[in-house]
Amino acid sequence: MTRSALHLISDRAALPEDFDRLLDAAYRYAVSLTHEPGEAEDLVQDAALALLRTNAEWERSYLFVTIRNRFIDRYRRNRRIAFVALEQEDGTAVDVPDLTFEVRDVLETGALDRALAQLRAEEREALFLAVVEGYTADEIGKLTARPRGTILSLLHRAKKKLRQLLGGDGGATV
Amino acid sequence: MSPQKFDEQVREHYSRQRLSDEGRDRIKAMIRKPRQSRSASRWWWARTGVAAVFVFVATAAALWFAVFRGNVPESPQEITAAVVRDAAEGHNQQEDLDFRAARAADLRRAMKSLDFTPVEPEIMRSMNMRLVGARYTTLQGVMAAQILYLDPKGEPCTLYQARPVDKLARISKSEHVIDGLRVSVWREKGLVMVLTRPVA
Repeated sequence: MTRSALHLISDRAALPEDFDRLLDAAYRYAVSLTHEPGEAEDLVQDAALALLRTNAEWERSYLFVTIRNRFIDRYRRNRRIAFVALEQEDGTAVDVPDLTFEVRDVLETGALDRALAQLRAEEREALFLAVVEGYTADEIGKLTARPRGTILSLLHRAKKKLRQLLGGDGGATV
Repeated sequence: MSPQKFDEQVREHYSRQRLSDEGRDRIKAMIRKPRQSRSASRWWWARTGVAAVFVFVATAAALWFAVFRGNVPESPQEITAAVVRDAAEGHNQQEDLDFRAARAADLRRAMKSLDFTPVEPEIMRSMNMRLVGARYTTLQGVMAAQILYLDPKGEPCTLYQARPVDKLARISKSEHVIDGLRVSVWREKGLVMVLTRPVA
């Protein structure tokens, strides 16, 4: 699933009809960053409060950016993560990596959750935005203020790690 | 279990993540409350703003009235009283003279910037006043000559002369005592005369 950049910036979940769905999307994005439900919930609450204070629109992309900024502020302050500078690939012949390799049921066993926990926050974030939200590398780059090549690099690294952890041939090894 | 596409499992994994009911309710409550308070806040600021503007305008109007209207003498009595205060104040300040002159003719030649020709009232001669000198001044905004005399006792007396224009056109003949001074106001030879001298 891909979404246009226009969709990315104008996908508004208006109050009150789509608000629950927007909150869930925001929460999932926060989980992709923190991989910890309680912290994700706090992030969503913080971001919602920030939007309220600025009287901003309840727009999906804006909420995501706010969550991301809060996450960076919070975790930088706590020195719990360090966003590692990635080598930017030239990316000319590279597109979004194939993430459709087959694995045995890693979901029900909890292996996927454990494997995702092994990823760095930015890798998990890129994976979430690409696989779950359906954003293109360009759109993820715009949302996260990173070059497209960096996004592709993050996705490749995430894929490589997950293949190693879960076993691309179908076995969950985590 | 058969192999599944990895991305489908990731989607499924995240789709199971849902904000707790407590968290959802907390955010919604937070939204409802601040919205009310923001609305109230806006209303408060609007009212305060209107009140502030009203107070500002009222204060400005009051100040304007006090400065430009309330304190501005309008009636002949008010104008005369204001001129008397000016004259007494000028007499007591004893500002330096611009010209020294022993005779009225000398003074007339010296004070070329006046829009009238200073004259010597009859009373000055009758009171044996001795001319000392003069300076330029104003009375209620009208150009005037402030002429210093000494009475026979050597006490300084100040005579003001000005054209009867603007406010001075409505001045009335009168005698006043202010700050230990006797102030006489009259018209003579087409000029307003104000004589300030010590009370005898």
